[in-house]
Amino acid sequence: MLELVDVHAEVDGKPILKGLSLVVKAGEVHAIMGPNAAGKSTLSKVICGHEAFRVTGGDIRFEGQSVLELAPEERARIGIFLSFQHPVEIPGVSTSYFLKAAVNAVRKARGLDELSAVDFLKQAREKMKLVDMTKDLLNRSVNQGFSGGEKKRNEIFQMAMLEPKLAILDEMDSGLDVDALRIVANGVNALRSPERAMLVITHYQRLLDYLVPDYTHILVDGRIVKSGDADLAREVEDRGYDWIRAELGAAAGA
Amino acid sequence: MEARDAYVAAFESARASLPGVAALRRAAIEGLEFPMRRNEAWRFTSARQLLAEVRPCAYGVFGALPEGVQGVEALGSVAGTRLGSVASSDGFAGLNAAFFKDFALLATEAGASRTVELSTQLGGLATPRVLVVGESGSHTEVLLHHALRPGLAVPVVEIVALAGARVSLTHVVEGEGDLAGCIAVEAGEGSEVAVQSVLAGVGIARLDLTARLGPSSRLDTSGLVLGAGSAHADHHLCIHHSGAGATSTQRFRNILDARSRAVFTGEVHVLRDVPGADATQTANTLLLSDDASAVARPWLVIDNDDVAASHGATVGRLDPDALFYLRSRGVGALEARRLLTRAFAGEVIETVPAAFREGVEHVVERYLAGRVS
Repeated sequence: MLELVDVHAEVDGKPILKGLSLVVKAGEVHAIMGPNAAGKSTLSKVICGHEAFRVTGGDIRFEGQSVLELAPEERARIGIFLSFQHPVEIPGVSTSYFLKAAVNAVRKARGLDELSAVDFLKQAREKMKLVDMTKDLLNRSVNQGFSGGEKKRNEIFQMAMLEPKLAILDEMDSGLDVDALRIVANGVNALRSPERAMLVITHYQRLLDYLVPDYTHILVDGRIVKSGDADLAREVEDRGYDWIRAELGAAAGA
Repeated sequence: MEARDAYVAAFESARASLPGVAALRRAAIEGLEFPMRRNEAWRFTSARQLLAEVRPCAYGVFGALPEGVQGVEALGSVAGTRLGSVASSDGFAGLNAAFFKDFALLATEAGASRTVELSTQLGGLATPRVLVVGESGSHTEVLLHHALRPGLAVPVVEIVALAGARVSLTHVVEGEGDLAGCIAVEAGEGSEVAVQSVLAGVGIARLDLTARLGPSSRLDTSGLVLGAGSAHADHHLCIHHSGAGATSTQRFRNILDARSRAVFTGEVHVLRDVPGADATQTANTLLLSDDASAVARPWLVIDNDDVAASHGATVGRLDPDALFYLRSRGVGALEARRLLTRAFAGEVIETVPAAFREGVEHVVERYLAGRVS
């Protein structure tokens, strides 16, 4: 579903990704772990087409097609979703208006009819239950005044509404206490399906106790330096990242 | 000044046909003087430019007045005699006082409620005059919509809110001509007055809003500038807290595209013997283009220690993070820009009474359809 081929990317002229390759198939959940400044957030942004991040080499393919020339909204419409590490507060734009516009833009791209106001509301109510939210959320401005937990739940609610093929969850656990983390992770687990792939980007292993990945990749200095299964994540939790750096250094020196 | 002499001469030949208030007209024309740039209150708007062409008076701007609104025949009525008691007759307001024929009086009886929509088509030298009198405990909501055609419009609205009255004026300007308008408020004890101003024209617009606030009265002002082309919009407020314990709020937002420019000045005066004043002011500008610009001037003159006053001004652009967030959900770039721009206007739109809100939303939509691309 998603193929990253030797991706190089920079922000403000500074190289961040330095030859990152990764293949994610439908139904798979991949965890990307790495120390600070390894390029984790840059990875999520370049897949979604953030204009501040420039891809300088390689290719990003989604279902076989390069997405590099596509605008962020076009990537969303073909089924790519990003759960933000820091969801943006947008005063004055109601969640229901925004989300209805988003859902209908995505449906239109898929050749489906627009949802009527009634059907939208029905679906929204259903999907809010996934993350324990109440319908007053719809009348509030997007993320405005939300707690950290509410913001992350709102991200997962939006994901449920938009039904993406690929969901990228960027530091979903940051700023969450254990209870909130469990709610959010349960919501995500309910959205796992054989047709949907997920890329879970995280600094800590904690999240992966709730959201068990099929594969774990370690990102250091803009490249994936080690891949494994869920056990690799636990090893990182126990030993930190330094042993991987040491291994890399030994390999480079050999 | 050339324009002044021309208007004085025009007055001499027209005065026999001008209805009522002869003394007011005579005083206005004798004192007629236009503000120069060295006048601090007119530093950013050129009166000379507004007067570049001397125009013939154009009358009949209201069309038919809605039911319950009285015309010139009411100049001699009890309420009508309040005309000229609130607005000054200086500068452009003097042109209105001297030449007006189009007059609308909205007098709401004690305890009564009414909602009125007035609209004008203004071209040439247009001098519509509106007087709103809210008797004790009454509730009045007025929409005044000016459609400007080429020319100079000098509308004057006077609002008299007697003790405990509530009056709201929604003042909307659209179109191609220039404007030098004045809204003047006399807020009686315990009264609540609200004024919302929308300047969406493409010419030069100057709107003065002056108020005298009686004891424990409240004045809520808000404004929205929708700037396109080379439009210039100048809101100038001058609010006097004359009675103890009065509250005034100012909430102004400018959305500026192309080479448009907005000026906001919020003068608040609190005298030494007036305790308990509460004045807040915000002026926020959204720039949609590199060539647009805004000036915001808080101007607080406070001679009493027992006062709560605050002011804040910001100038910014559409938030790129918010744009990316909306687009990452599938909302198109253009729609995302419109959503955020509309949201910026939202805080002012929500101050408009429910009866007129949709109309104001349409003004914003018309602007967005033409500009945000």
